Amino acid sequence: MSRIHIVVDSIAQISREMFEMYPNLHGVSLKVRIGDREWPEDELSTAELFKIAKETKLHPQTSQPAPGDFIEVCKPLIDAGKEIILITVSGGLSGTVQGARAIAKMLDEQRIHVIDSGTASIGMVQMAKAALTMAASGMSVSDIVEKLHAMIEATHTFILVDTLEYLYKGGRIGGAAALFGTILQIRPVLYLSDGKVAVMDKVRTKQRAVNRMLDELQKYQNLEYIGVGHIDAGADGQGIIERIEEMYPDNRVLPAGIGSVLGAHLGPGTIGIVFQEKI
Amino acid sequence: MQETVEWVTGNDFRNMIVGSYQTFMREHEYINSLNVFPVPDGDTGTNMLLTLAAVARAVKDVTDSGIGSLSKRAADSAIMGARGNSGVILSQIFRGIARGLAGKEQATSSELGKAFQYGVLYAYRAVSKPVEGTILTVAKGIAKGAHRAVRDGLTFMDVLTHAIEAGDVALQKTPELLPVLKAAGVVDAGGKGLIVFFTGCLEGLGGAYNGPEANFDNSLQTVLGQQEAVDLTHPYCTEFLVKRCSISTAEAKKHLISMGDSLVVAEGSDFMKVHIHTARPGMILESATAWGTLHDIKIDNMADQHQHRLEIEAPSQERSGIVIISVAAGHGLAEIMIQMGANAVIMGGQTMNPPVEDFIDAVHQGNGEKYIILPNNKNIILAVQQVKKLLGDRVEIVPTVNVPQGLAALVAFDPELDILSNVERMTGRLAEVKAAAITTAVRDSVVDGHTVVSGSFIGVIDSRVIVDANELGTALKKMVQSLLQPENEIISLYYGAELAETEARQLVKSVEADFPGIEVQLYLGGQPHYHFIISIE
Repeated sequence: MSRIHIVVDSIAQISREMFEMYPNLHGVSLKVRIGDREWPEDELSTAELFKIAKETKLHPQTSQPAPGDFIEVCKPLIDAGKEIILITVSGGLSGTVQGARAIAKMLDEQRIHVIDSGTASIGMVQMAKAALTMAASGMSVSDIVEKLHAMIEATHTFILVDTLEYLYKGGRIGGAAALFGTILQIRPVLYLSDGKVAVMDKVRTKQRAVNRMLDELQKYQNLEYIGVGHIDAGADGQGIIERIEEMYPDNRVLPAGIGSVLGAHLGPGTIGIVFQEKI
Repeated sequence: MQETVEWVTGNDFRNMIVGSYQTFMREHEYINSLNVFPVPDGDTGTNMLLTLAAVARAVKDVTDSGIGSLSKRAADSAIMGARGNSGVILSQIFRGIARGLAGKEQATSSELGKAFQYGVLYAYRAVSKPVEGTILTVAKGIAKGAHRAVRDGLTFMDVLTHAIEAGDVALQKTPELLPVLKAAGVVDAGGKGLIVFFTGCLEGLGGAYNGPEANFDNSLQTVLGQQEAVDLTHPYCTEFLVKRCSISTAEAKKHLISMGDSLVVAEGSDFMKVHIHTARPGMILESATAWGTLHDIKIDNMADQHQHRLEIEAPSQERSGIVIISVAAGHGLAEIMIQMGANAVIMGGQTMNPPVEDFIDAVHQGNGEKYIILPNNKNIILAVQQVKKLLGDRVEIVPTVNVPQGLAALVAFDPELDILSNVERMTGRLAEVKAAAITTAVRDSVVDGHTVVSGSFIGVIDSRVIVDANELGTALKKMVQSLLQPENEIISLYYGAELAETEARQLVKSVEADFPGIEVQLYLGGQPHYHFIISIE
């Protein structure tokens, strides 16, 4: 087995099957909290999250993994002489990357390589898969890290939220802040710019927002993959998947998992797409 | 043929302006009534009167008596004071005249005649797509008449007389050239305004208004007070509801009419709403207590509102290099525009066109590097084009012709982009907006073969009547029905000053019931005349 191990946080929503397939792939979980109850991200679905939040009338909160959670995963690997590539959710969305860097410093900065994915969900999964494949082929850590940075540069994340309320209450609203609480209902088309939530455009209806997002996507023709995910967006979410499949008949549209931490920050009805240009 | 040279002096020129202004005082209401559409529209007579008032004010105090410098001053003030498209065209006439008289101490008849022809030429050039049957047809007639008279060496008074006669012939032909005029049974209002202007010049030159009874200051006072659209003789905007009302709206109107202006008395299901501009709000409330119980009493000093307008600005840290100046009639609309990113909102709209000067002031008071202006009305576009002409590249225009377009442009604004990219992006959104309005027909008209009577509720798009009904709710629903497409999701309704919120909410409920699956959003617009401004997206 490769001496290079990959650690990914729970925002990636990596499946159990994938963990079983790669013994050198590990996960660290963020946490979600409602009132005085707390769950590791994977133990609370978005449906349960919104149900409990509604019942308790409390806004859900989230936190990055505790230092101990990183140490539990990383220390045995370091002690066994392995190298670690630790891929986190965008630093513009979560403090996870900072926590990870602190742990790296504490354990062994030379052998724990922290990568800020600048994205979330399927974007992180694809980076982890690429890293695993490169490691298996015998590439050096520094070459893999270099390749991952190229992937980060080529990866784009677009988000449509049904309401700005969750981003606002979670403090992740960034450039969209000015839109919250305005009299007119506005639907922003959001994207991650340097990992932070930024406004691509503002429109007034859901359909125009979807069209605007897909128009922007259309500007990129040579794609490595396209991931689409939604939180309880029902027919709207399915409709987007179908439209993207029509736009890119040669690309498989991958499902993008959205867990309860992103759910807590984006709210129900959110639709997100992550895609990477071919390098 | 006359051989003696007749000199026209600066003082004669001043008398002409006073004359034209006085004539407009007399005629502007009539010109306003030459309204093609049955909707409360940009008042051509008032716009030209207020533009002339600015000129009259400017030439009043000039000590320099040279006709050249006086006409230059008249032109400058006309440009700054120009209101509405007709005001802008009038200001261009003054520009042409000033050009013809530049550098002259006094002028001969033929020089003055030529200067007036320049004026007509400039007016023609001010309009990007000249349409026959409008003020321009009349201007051409005037120019021809003047040209012939100048060629024949007539005195200036005779030149003017001939010019007016020829202009009047052209005016009477306007209904033949423009079907909408014929259908409405009127001649073109702007053309009529031009005839009134020249007639006033002639009367003034003839000495009609230079006797002691024509006290210049007094005659100007009423209009000068309105220079910022605030009538200082009636500064208090007073509004209230009367419940358990014991008198009819007609009786209430009769009682209130002499106590102020801008009077609106509207009847609700179980109340009467009163809106009036007055100097004595206490007296009005006192008499209304005898009619029933008073509710939602609101008294605003409109002079404060005006200052408020200039103070409505986004917090300074949000100021980007680009400042957006928008136009709205109604405080609800102004507030929404400020929230959506406008830095200043100038009060004005369909029936109250702000002068060029208001925009220049707003630019001077803003601390941006560049300015985007949203006129939000067809009749304000020429005025803002003048603003751009005066201020150059600092100012760009997104040619919005209604409030929903203005809001769509504001939504599209991105402070990160440069001004030209923003203008392109904002302008690109205008076509997506479906906008209409519900108002009350101000006169009878024929629409699609049937008569729409004055006082009925009409749904209009760009001043064209699309639907009509006896009930407000029915007109609203018919209008929505005719605009709605399967892909639409939201109907935004901005309710006007004459409608109570409870009434507006009830109407929204019934629209929602008729159009399930479409989101209906209600906002306070506060605009006069229009019960609802409608936007469908």
